[in-house]
Amino acid sequence: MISRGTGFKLAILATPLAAGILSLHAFGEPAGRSVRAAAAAISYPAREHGTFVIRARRGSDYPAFAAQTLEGFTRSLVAWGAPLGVVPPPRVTVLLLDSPDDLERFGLDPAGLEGGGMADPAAGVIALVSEGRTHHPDHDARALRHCMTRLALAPVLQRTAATPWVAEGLASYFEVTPPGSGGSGLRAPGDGVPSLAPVLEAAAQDFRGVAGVPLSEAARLWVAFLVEKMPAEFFSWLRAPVAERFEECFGERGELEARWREWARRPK
Amino acid sequence: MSPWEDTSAGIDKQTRPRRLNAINVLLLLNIAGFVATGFLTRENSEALAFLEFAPRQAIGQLKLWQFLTHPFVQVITLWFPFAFIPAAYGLFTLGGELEARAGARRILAYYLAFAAYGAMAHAAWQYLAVTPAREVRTLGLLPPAYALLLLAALRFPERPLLLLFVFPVRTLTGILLMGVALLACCAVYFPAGVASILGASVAAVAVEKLEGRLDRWRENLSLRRERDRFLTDVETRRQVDLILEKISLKGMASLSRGEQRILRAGSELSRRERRQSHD
Repeated sequence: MISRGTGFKLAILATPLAAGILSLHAFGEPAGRSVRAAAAAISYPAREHGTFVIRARRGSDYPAFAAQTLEGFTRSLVAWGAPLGVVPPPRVTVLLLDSPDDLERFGLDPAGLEGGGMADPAAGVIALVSEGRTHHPDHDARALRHCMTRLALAPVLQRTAATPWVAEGLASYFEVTPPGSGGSGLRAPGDGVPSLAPVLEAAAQDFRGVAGVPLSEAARLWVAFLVEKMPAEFFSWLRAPVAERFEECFGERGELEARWREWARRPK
Repeated sequence: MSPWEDTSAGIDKQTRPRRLNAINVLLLLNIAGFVATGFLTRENSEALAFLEFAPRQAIGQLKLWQFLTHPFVQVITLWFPFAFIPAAYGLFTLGGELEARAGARRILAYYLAFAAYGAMAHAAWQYLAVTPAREVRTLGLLPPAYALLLLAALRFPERPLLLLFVFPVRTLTGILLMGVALLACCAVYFPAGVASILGASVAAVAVEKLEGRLDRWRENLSLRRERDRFLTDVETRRQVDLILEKISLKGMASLSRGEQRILRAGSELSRRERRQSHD
C-alpha cells in the first residue's frame, strides 16, 4: 500500500510529466510547425527580385540565376498564352532548398516533388531541391521552367477543358522548348512512340516517378505536336468549356494519332 | 580525494544488496530487452514498435505505456554495446549502492520517472524540430540509466570512482565526464539521443534538489499541525476546567451553547487521550 507521503511525492513527480504530455498532445504539432517554419525562414532568408521572392541559403548566388531564368521564361510564356488569358502571377515565392525535409518546414508535401522541383499554384510557390548535389544550371533551369509553366497556366487550365495530360505535357514541353526558342519539340528518330490512349486517360499521379517518365515524355510529344502543328485547334480546345469533347475539336482520334506518330518519327 | 574510510561509514558492510532487488531486476530486463531486440528486429524492424517510444504515436495517439517501456528496447548498432556495458556496470555498482540507501521501490520509481522525462524531452524535440516523416526513436536504457547514475553521484559526490576502470576520481566528476562524453557521442552518431539524455538528467537533478526540500516541508507541516493541536488541546482543557467549576456552582442548566460545545470537545479529547494511552 502506498503511504500518503509516497503518494504525494509521486503526484509531484507525475504532474509536470502529465502537463508536458497534455501540452504536446494539444499544441505540439502547431507549435512544431511554427518553430520549423521560423527556423526555415531564418535558414533561407528572402530576397526580392521583381515579382519573385526568392529564398535561398545565405551566400548562395543561385537567386540571381533563378530570377533571371524565371523572369525571361515568364515573359515568353505570357506572350504565348495571351490568347488563353495567361497573365504573369502577381507574386511568386521561389524556394531554393538543400533537402526535401525543408519542403515540410515550408508547409509543402515532399511527395509532390518531381524532377527536383515542385509547384504549388494555390500558394504561389515554386520549390527547387538540390538534395546535396552540385547545382547544374541546365537541369535547374528546366525544373524552374516546368514549375513555372504549372504555376502560370494553373488558373487557365482549371477553367478550361484541360485534363492531366495537358498540364503535364505543356510543363514538359516548355521545360525543354521555351516559347519563342525556336525548338522543334521533336526527339531523335528511332525512339519508340508510345500509344496515345494511356496518355489521354492518365491521372495526374500517373506522370510521377520513374514509372511516369515514358508517359510524361509521350504527353510532351503530344502537346508539342498540337502546339506546333494544330495551334488553332489546340487553343480553341483549351478555351472551350469542359463539356466539349476532344474529337469535336481535333477530329477522329485514330487519324490524329497516325498524324502524330508520323510527325514524331520525322528526323530533327 | 577522500579515502573510502572517510566517505563510507559502513565500509565493512555490504553496500550492494545481493537479493533479487530493483537494480538486478532492471539489469535483467535491460539485458533481456537487448537480446530480444537483437533477435526480433532482425527480420522485422517493427516487431517491437509497440514498446518503443515513437513521440507522435505515444502522445498523439496516447500510447502512454511507451513512456515506460521504451528503455527496455535497445538500439542494435555497432557502437551501442560500448555504451550499454558501462551503463549496465554503473547501474550494478552505483545503482546498487543508491538502492541500499533509498530502497527498491524508490529506485524503480526513479528509473521509470527518468525514462518518462527523457522520453518527454525527446518528444518535445521531435515535435518542435523534426518533421513527422523524420521522427526517430529513443536510446534504450541510456537516458534513465545515466540519470540514475547522476542522482547517485549527486548523493555521494565524494565517493571514489575508477573512471574507465583506471583513473581514480570523485564520483560526481566521473559521472559528469561520462555525461559529456555520452552527449558528444550522441551528437555525432545519434543526435536524437541528446534531448532524452538531457531531459532525464534534468529530472535527476530536480529530484535531488526537490526531494529533500519536500521532505523538510512535509516534516515542518506535520510539526506545525501537531503544535497547533497541542495548543488547542491546552486551551480546551483550560476552558473545560472553568466550565466544570461553573457547573458545580450553578448546575448544567446554566451552560450556554458555546460552553456545551467546549464540554463536548473536552470529552472527545479525553477519549482520544485514553485511546492513545491504550495503544
